[in-house]
Amino acid sequence: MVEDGSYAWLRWIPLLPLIAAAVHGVSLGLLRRPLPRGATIALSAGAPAISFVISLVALIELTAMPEAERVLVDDLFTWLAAGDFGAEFALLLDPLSAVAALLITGVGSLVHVAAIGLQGEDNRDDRGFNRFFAYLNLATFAMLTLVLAENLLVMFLGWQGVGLAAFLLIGFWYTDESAPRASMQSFIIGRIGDFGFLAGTLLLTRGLARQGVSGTAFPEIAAGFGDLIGITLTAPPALGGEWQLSFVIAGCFAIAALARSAQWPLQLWLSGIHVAPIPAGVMVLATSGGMAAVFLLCRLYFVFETETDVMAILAWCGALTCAVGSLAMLVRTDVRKVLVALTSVQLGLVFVAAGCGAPSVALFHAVTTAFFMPLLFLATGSIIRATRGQTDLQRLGGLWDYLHRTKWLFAVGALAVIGAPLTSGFYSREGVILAANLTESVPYNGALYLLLLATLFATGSAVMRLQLRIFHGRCMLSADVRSQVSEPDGVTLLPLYGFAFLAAMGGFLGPAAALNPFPVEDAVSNSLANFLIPLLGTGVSLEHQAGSVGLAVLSTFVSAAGALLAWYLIHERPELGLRLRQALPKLDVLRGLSLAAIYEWAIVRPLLWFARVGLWAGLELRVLDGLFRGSVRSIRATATGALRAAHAGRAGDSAIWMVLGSLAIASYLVA
Amino acid sequence: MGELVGVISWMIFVPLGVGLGLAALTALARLAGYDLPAVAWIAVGFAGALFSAVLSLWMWLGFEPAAVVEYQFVEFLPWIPELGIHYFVGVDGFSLPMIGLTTCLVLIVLIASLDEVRDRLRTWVFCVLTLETALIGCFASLNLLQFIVFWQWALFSAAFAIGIWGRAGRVQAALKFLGMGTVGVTAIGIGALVIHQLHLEQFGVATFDLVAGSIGGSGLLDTLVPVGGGVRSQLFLFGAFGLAFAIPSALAPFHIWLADAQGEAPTGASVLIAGGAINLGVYALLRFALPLFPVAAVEWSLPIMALAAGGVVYGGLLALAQTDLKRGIAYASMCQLGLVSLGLFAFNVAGLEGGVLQLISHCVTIPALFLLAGMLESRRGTLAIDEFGGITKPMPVFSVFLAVSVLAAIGVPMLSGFVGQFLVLLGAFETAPWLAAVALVGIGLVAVALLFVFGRVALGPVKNPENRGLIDLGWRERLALLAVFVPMVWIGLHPETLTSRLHQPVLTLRRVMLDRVAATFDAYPDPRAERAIERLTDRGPGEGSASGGREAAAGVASELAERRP
Repeated sequence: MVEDGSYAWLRWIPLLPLIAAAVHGVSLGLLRRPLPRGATIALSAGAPAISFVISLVALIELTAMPEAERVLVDDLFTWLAAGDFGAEFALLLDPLSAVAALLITGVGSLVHVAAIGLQGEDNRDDRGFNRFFAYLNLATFAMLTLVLAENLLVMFLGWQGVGLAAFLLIGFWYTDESAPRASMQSFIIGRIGDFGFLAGTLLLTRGLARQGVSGTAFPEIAAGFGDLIGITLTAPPALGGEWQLSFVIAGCFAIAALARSAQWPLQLWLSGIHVAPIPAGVMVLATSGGMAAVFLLCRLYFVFETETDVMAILAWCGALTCAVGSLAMLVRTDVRKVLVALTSVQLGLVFVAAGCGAPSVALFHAVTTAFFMPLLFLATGSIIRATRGQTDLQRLGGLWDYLHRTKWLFAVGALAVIGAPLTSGFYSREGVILAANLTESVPYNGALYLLLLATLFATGSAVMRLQLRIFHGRCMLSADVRSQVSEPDGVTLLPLYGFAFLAAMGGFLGPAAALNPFPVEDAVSNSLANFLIPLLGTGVSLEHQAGSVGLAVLSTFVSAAGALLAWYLIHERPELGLRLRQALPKLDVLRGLSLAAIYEWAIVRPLLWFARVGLWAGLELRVLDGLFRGSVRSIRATATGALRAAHAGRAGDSAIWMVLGSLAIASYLVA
Repeated sequence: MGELVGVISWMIFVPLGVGLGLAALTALARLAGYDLPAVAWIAVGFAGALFSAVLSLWMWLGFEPAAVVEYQFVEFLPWIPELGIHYFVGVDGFSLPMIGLTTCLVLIVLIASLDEVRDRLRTWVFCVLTLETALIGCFASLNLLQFIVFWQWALFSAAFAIGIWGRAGRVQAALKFLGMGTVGVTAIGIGALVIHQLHLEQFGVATFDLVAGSIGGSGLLDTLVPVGGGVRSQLFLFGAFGLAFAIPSALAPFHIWLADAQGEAPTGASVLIAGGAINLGVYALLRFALPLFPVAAVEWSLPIMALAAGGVVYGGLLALAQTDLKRGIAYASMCQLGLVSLGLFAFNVAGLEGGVLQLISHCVTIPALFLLAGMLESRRGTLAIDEFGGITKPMPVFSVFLAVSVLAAIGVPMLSGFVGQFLVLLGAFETAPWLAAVALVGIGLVAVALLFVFGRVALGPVKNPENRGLIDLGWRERLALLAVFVPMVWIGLHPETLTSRLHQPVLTLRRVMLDRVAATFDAYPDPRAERAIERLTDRGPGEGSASGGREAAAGVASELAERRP
């Protein structure tokens, strides 16, 4: 298995889902013969499951190695080489990618299994089932390639793959009016991120080549990056004259990360995710979109580390995403939209942590988000299924007595997302709060901290609102729907139990070991952060965490206060709640309109107008074509004039001219 | 040097011979009162094209990527030896993929024309076969005049194809195509005559050959010092060659033939223009213009790169503005060609290899898009984007092919577009980072434009009732598309197949350019020649000593030689 330090079996981790996707692609896209249902399930859900097992083996292999040498490489072939530049098609497994790969394959497998039940019944065309699994497999492949990439080029392959999978999954119901629009929006915003990624890659590669580092593998880049600090780029004076190269590179990658995880101000495409099937929404937002971005930040942390300005931008973009998302989740009435906003808030917290200099905390929160958000999404999927597609919070209610399993699953997810003590969300959120509290590099960090507390308050309210509106109060369903309410079968619910377990217990993976109420002997050294320390540094140091109990109490209190307020408003003072809810959309509309409108009126429309009227109708057709036609006309006029003189009216007979011309040339040559 | 009639000649002349033979047979049959059916034309024509394709495959397999000789499969036949006009053909890593793709695309066009071409099918087959002969003849030319003759021939064939089988505005478009193409050919023709004469005056040898074709012969590149009285005359001569490059390569503002010709052309002609005729400019550049006038090429490079980068953005914006499918594709093609020019004129290894790789990718992705557009047109009779929408419902297989082609064209990794694009940008970032950044913006624009096209054609509800009953792609169409898709995926996955054949010619080209720049510097000490040395040796200003140009060049040349695989 192991030859000369090469681990050739690593390639099967991303390859298996790709093969599954390719089989579906050929059977659906070319032959139009979908696989039978059983084969689809075995192939599509089996592939990530086997990948999970391989990742587990790899992790075990990794932990058996000495701490400084924990790297497995699988070099497939030389992808692209020209001159000094060379990029291998290679996979690299180190602690960071091992954690990410485990998460993606593990969570991915659960989502696949859940999709069997949820998607199997929610079908509008005969091949939808297979198509859906093809997309899920593709998304899994893309994510695995992204995290296992050995260099930036392979990572870009995964990066674009994630964007493509998001495009396909969001636009799954392609015959609808809204789904294609939403998916295009996601792709275009993703394209902005791709621009950042590609520009950053090119600048980094070129800069390093100038310093004599010709390799593109991450370890080499990380080692060589220090030489780039202090180098300036000369720009035209209109663009500010001189730029620090390291700042520009970090900025480019920051754009990429912000776009991929729908952070402010690039979060427009979030609004469309709810049109996708529920498992697709999970895949796009919770497991791939956010994870891809935070993984990029962690993998390239050496780029961001020294650029405090970029870090501050990341933190503030994250905080603003939290603010915007908080507003949205309080006023939306579609349960799927509330969940999308809730996820976006979690990703905002991730960026706050990363921007505050705690990448391992950021990664940890992304991991726990990938535990509890799928749980909430899938439980909601079960609710929507049970109520025959009802997604309006105003029309749900009183389901506590009907959905005996789903209600508990949902409750676990709800507790985790508001960060109830001992759940996974608690630990990761504490890390974020702590990071925001301790940071000194982010300007106005006091305001940032207050904004986070407000977000916690809003999260508590929103989740309580969901709980009350779905499960309590009067049941609004019609009698015949109510009589047929049923839960999905065990296979569909099984992954939900898995997610529930992770959401409840996942916190013990985390770096907040000091908060661990069950002190295990090796808790600290086994924690995620310690595993990642060689790559990411310590982030928030453990000494600080001992004093963080006060913070934990405060933030828990704030969340609980939010939840209590929601309970009070809905349960005790519904008329006040209604008035508040009617007032809040105005704020929300203002927000939604402004960003969308700014893009629409400041960029899209002027650009299209410029292209259509200025360039196409004006420059291309009038000026350039006119010049061409004008010159043809004048040439023809001269030629016919000359011909008339020479030939008395035999105009246009160019053959004569050709003969004359060739004679002239020949005589010139021979002479 | 080489056998008298070898594989390349067979490849060039068999299609023409088959075409002429079929024509003669038809005439004979008509005399006998019998009409040769069009199917026979297609079948025999296909067999002839297949013969060429098999030969090109055989040549591909027999080609030695690391061979030290510059050209392989060389054939030389004196034609008008007094004037130095010979039949002189051979291939290297630049022309090998161009020839291979041309032969493949002709096969695909012949298959596709069964569904596409409604009338004068026999003439169409004849036209396609002559075009194939002309294109391969160009790509194998090592004699300048022979190249020009074949080029003009290709222009006529393509123009006929547009003018006879095109859409409503076909005659105008064909004339525009022919007119602008002829301007380019005339420019390079005049340039060729001038250097021929100068060469004769300076060195006493009359030749159009690039290198010595026979023992005792002489080629234009055999004398290190470029012809002409100095750098100034070279600038003019390169201008002539550059015009011949710029017009087929759709360098703004010489692109104005592109949208009209490609918009009005029948699908087969669009495919062969995008996958074959457009390469002629790049071939002229790589084979003749750059080695002959390296100082001038370097001197012209920044303006050309600026035009190229601007062209990428311009093409992207115009692609956004189009309402016609084929015209949209044409502007996307302009974007990709802008990238090709951007990479080539960076003159570094990444840029040159990336430029050719991008060109080859263009020769696959754009024809695929044109084929798909043609399949829609033959079903609906229109290409207005607004006429469509929700095509995926009735034509799912079509939609899958369209999606993959669009992704390949916008440079998604693992498909052909990405690798060339990346290398081009890497090379351009080295010499002109801000221009590369501009091109990067353009790439984003064209991606959005193509995606919009895909969304508006394929996604959403089927609103137009005429689209409801559309029939999905048949087996013939799927086969034709698959034939384009295999290279599309393979280039993206394993570009080494191509780049390993490009390393050698790129190094040779850079070495020849350096040697000749150094010789120019020795002959006419000119700051422009010094700048060219600095640029080609990639050293900062002031590092190379003023008098040591040749030494510096020789040093770099040996450095390059060492890096050879």
